[in-house]
Amino acid sequence: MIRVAHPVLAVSASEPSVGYGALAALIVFIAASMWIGLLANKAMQSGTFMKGFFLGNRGLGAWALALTATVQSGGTFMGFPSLVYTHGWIVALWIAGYMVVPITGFGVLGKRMAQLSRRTGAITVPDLFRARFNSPALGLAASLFIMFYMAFMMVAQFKSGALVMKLAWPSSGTLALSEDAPAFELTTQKLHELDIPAEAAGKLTALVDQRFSTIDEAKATLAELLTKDELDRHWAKILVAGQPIDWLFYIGLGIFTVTVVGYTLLGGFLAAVWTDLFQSVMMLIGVLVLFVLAVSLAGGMEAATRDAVANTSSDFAFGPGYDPKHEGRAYLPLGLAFSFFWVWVYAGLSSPAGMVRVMAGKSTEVIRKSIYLLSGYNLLIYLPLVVICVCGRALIPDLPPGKTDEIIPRLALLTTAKLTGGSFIAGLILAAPFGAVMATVSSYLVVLASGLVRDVYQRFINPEAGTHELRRLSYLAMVIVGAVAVAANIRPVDYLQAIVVFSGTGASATFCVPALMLAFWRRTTVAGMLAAMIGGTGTMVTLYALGIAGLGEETLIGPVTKFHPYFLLGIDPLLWGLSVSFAAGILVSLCTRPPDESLVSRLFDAEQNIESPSS
Amino acid sequence: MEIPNARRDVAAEAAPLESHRLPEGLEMPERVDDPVLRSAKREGLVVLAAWLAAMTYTVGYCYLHGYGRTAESLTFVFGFPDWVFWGIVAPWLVCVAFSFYFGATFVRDEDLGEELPEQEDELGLGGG
Repeated sequence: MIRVAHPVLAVSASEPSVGYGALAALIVFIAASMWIGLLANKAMQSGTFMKGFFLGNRGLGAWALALTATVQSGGTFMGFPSLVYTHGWIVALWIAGYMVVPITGFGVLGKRMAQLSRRTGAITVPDLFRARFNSPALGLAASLFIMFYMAFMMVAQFKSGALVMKLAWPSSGTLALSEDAPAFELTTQKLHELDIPAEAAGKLTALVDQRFSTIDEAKATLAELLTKDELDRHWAKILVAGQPIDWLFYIGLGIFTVTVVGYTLLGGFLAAVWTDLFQSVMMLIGVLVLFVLAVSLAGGMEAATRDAVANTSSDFAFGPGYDPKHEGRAYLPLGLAFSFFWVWVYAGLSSPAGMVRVMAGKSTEVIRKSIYLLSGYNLLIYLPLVVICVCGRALIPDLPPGKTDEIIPRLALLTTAKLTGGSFIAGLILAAPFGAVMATVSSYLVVLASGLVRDVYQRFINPEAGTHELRRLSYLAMVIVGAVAVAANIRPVDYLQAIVVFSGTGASATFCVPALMLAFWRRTTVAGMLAAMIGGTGTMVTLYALGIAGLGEETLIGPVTKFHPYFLLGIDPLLWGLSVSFAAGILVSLCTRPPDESLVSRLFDAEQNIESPSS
Repeated sequence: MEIPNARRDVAAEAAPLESHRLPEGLEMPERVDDPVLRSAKREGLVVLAAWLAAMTYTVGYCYLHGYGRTAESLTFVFGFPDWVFWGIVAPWLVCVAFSFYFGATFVRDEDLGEELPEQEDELGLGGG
């Protein structure tokens, strides 16, 4: 253990520089991912193209399944530490649902999904929906819903990836993982570099380090400082200097896109899963190293909590959480604490990307082993992360609200500063979110491409398509999805974390009840499935639309963001979505004609029974 | 080494074939659920109970002991605030132990069946 004296607090005031360690670590990540893509490319050659490329020939082992099917996306990995730093120990309760996620994620649907997908030959989730009910329309509907939610997620994840690349650039001078970077901010350094007359530059000092959320706002302030002539002549240069989303972001976006699309093209589903496994292991190492470093630097966990409370208030140690803006916001009241035990469990249980991985599991032995492997993994990731960020509040007490996303990178730099090889260790810790984002994007690329090629093209446009054509189209689909996500990020999206949550819980409200009905209830009908999906999505979209439009009462709960839902009765929209989906699915199924008995029997009855029903 | 069928043989002998019937009147009385369906239902119900128990205890305990307290009342257990340890860390450890038991011994290994050849349509029933 390393015990360092406390020159630490001074560090927080200055901007830490990232150095070359992070860039080196990212290059290692990129190289490793490409290599994994090549390996996957070799491994998938054994079966047919579609089954190999989109399902890895159903050969996933326990480690690959455990650590990749329900682990959080990069977006959440970046957002979660910020929540602990901001609101305190109560975030441990927010995340506590993860204690049961391994059992619920694999123990409820795992076996049946794996079995049904084999019996029907399904390669994708919509494939399974279609085959279970022999309904092409249902398959198409499922595919469209999946693509709807994944499109949101993809755009947000591409932005995360580009931001991490930008952050790792040694001269970028910023640790901006933050999504709410201002539209305009002129730093002292940029002002010095600005090639305009000294007189005009002198007037601009009043503007230094002011954060503007829109360009117009910045221009209006400039108009007060400069003469009209000066403003007209120099505006273009000042604008370039003051825009934080600069060429580094676009270079980052470019490198990120080429890397992730590249290795996913090479290795398909297996590349996505194996890179995911690789980053999950790296993340665990990063978290455990940082845990040891941060706790020892803070003088132990108890001291860390006491210091953090001294830096904030006693609310930091208790529910409903610390309110940094002192506006009476209760971060996690009882209704939301209860809600999040549903959110993590049901989002993990029925995420389309997760269900596909269970379908790809090699055997039931793999599925049951995954339960305890993931259980141990979650324990070692989430509780230490909470402790790390409590230490963060003790060691770096003064991060402003917009910069709390930087707590992990800052702690990584701070705690490794005096270690031999510290820069590279910090780099590895910094690279973990990048790996997480790459893995998420890669798996979604596979799901989206499989949706376009398998569920739409092969099913509806050209069922006779040969392997060569399907292969070419799959590659083309991935490139197009990548290009669309890049185009959507020319003007980067706001509210990254909120979009990730909307997409995850929305998909859950849409697919959870249908997946359970499909697996366990004989009486389920096509109309019931459609009603459950539409009911879930409709409820989620409505509650989010109400929240974003500002309709309904202001509840002052949950995180601060404009992209927030309306918390009806103080409960997360997912619970309402699931309830409506459940009611609609059951009622409509019961009100419609029972499904064809022979269709159900093939998937629900013991085999000897099918062969000789009278036995 | 994968030996997916070894446990299943024992299990198949132990499980009575007639154990589970659905109540709907429309179905033939002779019907016997697929063994995977049967064990998946049984395991699913246990999981549901575990989730409900974990949620009730954790949210309940934390709400009763972790909300709206003063700094003076704060005590620590193994470095965690008292309510975090008893309300979150302790049940989390119990869940990990239960997951090991559940995954290692409770979940029954089954044969997932043969893969349909890709050329065949699902179920051989057409409709594509």
